[in-house]
Amino acid sequence: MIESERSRAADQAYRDHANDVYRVAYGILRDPDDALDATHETFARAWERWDQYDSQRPLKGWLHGIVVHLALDQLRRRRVRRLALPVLGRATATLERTTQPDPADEVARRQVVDRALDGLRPEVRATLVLRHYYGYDYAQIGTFLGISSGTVGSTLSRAHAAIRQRLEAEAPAGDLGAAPATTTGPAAAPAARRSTSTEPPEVLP
Amino acid sequence: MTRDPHVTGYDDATIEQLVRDVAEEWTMPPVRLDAPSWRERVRSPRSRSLAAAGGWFGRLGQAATAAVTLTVVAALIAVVLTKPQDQPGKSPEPSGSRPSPSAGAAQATPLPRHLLLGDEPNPAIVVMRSERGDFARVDLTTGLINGPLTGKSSASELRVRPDGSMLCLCVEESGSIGGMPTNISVSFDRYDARGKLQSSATVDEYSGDPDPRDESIFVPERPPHVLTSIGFSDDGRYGFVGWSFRAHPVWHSGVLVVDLSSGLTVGRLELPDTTDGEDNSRRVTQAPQVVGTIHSGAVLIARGWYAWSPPASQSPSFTSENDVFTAAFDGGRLTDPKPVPTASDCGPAVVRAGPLPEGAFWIACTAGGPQQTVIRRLGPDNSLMGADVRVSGTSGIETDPTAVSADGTKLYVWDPGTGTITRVDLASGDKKTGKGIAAADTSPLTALGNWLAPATAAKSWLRGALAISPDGTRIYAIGIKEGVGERAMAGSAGVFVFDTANLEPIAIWQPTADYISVAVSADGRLVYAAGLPGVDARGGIKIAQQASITVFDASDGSVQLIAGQLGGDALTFLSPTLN
Repeated sequence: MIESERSRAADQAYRDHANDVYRVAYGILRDPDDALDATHETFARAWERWDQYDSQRPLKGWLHGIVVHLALDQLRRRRVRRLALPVLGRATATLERTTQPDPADEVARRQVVDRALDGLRPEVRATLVLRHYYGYDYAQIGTFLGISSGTVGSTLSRAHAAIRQRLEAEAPAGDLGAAPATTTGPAAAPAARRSTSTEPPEVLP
Repeated sequence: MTRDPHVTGYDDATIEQLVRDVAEEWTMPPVRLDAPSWRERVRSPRSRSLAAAGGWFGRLGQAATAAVTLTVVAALIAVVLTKPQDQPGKSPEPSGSRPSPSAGAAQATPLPRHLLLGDEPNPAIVVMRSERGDFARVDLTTGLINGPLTGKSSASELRVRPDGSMLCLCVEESGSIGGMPTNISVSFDRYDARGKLQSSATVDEYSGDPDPRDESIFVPERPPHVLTSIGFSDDGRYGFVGWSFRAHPVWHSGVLVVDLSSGLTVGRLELPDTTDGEDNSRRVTQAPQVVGTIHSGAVLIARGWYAWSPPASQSPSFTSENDVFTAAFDGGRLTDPKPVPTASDCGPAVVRAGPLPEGAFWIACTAGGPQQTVIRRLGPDNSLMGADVRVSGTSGIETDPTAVSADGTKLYVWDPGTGTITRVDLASGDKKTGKGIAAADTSPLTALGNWLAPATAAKSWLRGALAISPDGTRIYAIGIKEGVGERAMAGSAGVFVFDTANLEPIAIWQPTADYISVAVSADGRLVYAAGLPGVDARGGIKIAQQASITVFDASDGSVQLIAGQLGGDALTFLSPTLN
């Protein structure tokens, strides 16, 4: 690809996907400045490696693969600063939310989920966003994060449990009208001779 | 992914929607026109080369600085450790009291790169599996890690030979349709003891087609097209390559046997084809696995499958089961597969199988890791022998919670969440339990892994949750703490030691890290525990912490060695016994 074509393609990619890249970066880093920094870094690295991009595959997925690695690396590099900042950030956020509660239940639930995400590991937050917002399959997420598909599934399961616990504690479903879970599965009916559920089955170890 | 049985109000779909709603708000802020854009960050080819070189020199500099610093730290720690204690050399005894966070509060201290408190361990070179699915070689005499070794797919399996050289049945994936590979190549690779590739030969290649019915629809499940599953025979002489691939309207599957001394394929077994789903359902047949030897000259093979309907639904209904077969296995030849219909509904994962007297056999299946283990006994004619033995445990942990005694007569089932070990007599079905009790963290060494971290991270998986000593008298198992902080499970409860004679807890060794894998040396003198990176022993988020290995003296639980800076990937042992 000649330089001018690459330049146009990269500019177009930035216009089309910068926000998607930023969203994943923010999901991992939880800091707007750092996420913006990672977004710019992602497009810079993408430019440098543009020849490696397989045009048969979605560009967004390729960019997401780059930003996941960059953001996690950024966390490692800035670990000393990171040790103090999240605690202060959480304290401030909690104070604001406590003193100015939103009257809408749905907003309140989102705030609870947002706070719950703060307590999860960066890789877990990335898994949640990549799966639930962007709909990547387990294998693709595993490739992004360098883990197995089975680990992706179990990570999601544990993340749901953590968020659920937080929601039940701070925004009980009965108060907010959430429908109780109605599905059955191996866990709910261990004696069932044939298991049926709305979850993917376990991957053999 | 397993469902949390304690769901009361918020189902997964609701949580998924809430996550989407929250993430929707994460939009990029306006960028100042005078702020540097991504274009200003693009490096010239020359600067990229310099940056790469600088990185290496930087690491060398960091290593030198770290070595000096750690020498000082190690000296200080040694002073603390050599201070006389109430019960010198004795591991903490079980206690009913919960750890007191205020008593002798541990100061924030990262694990050292290398802390040697006794003789050099044997083995001193340990090959580990990394979280990314590759392998790495850890030198415990220096605390340094060398890897990745293969650069291939996470489905690969590697074995270490007595001379330290390594054999890999390595898997490489290629092609992609619907985000899933369409081709898999399996190779037999040899590495020397230093991890250098010596030879590589292709064993076989498999290709799967996408489902033509789904060309015009989006299938959120994104099913695989081709799969493999690698295993090894009990005697270590053979490797098994289970394979399956779609050729609509069926899945083909089978098992290939590789002689590990020559690398030659000595046996091929094809299993009956299975449907890829009819009408409004889709079905995936997983690669078969050789689960165990059920009597001389015969093995048990489990081939899992799962189906979902409707295919394009975001929340389809899933069904899963196993096709189970016995097959003759003689001199590497795998022949005469016979279905065992009475075993198919034992559980989602068939993890072990073994012989019983008079041609009978048993299988062990798990659902949700330790959440439920089912031991089913079957006669020579595949008829059920008595009721299933069921062992229930903590949900939400991905692991194989089982281990078999050396004589093959007993199965141990470990629940890391409650510290409970259950022994099942495989012939009679009788079971007995023993329970360890969390001990107070009074050891000075505990401080090495405990930081002042308020948040905790949920533990998700263990790989190598328990190990039996070579003489069969001890069980070493790693526990997970329950109810710590805001998480259901987080942090390590340490290494639990049980006496196999009566299942009484002998000791609980306090964790220096958040353990995810345990193994015992071949001579039984040392116990190795691998710790997670990114968290401390209590499960508190600690990005600075790297993966670690702690070596305990099996006789008294004293820490002999810590290699605490082994990189950012979680490491687990390849087997519960280290040669």
